[in-house]
Amino acid sequence: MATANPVNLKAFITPDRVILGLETEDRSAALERLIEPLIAGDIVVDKAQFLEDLERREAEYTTMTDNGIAIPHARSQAVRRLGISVGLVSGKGIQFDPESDTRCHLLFCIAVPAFAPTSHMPLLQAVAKFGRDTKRVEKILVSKTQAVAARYLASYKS
Amino acid sequence: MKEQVQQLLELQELEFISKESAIVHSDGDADEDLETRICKKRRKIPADLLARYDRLTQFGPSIVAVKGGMCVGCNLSIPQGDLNRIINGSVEPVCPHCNRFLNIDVS
Repeated sequence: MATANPVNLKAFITPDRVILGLETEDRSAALERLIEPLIAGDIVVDKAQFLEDLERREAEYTTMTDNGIAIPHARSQAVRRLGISVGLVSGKGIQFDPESDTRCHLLFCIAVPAFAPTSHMPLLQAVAKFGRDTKRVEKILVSKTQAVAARYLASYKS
Repeated sequence: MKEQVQQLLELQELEFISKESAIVHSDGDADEDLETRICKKRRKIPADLLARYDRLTQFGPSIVAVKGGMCVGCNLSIPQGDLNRIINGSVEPVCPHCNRFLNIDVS
């Protein structure tokens, strides 16, 4: 497999792909909300199919990290092109991984087209690197508007 | 052959998940259970087929889709006659240009 190159998040993250104040404790409900901007952006064409693919991928191995960041992603026939949406969770967080006590406060949902199964690797690497930087995560979580959050993410150079 | 390609496809998916997990989880280690499943899956696949799969994997996904009559791996058009022969099972589901395994969704 080709080595993943650094990616500029600016190319993928726009204010309309950011959801502020996600108020749910349920994983499926959160995933459904995260799919909505991808549908609006014509990236995902079948919500139910993509949700099923995301859940199947989560069942294989969790995409949640120890510091409460989840990066749900899946290869799917319902995806037309590579895309990402971001969810900032308010309240006590989401019980994303049933086997973990850690609550999830930040989600990045990556839609991967089935015909390009490894196209997301650089994006995944960039987002995972961002998620490991606790200061940056704390800063984005207090974003007041979608534009501020999108700009902050877009300015990140992996 | 279709069943073997299906097995290779499952193996490829598990290996992708393993790589993704190594990226997502900071310790860089994939789950042991995942690695065990990959090993088990590899044992079920004939050695010659596995060798071809591993060789192709060095250059990207070994099993690719066909979109609009084109191999997604090399972006070259596959002649309709070849596609028909692949679909009816008279030849191996392999791209005539790049040799990648083809995952053709007949439906």
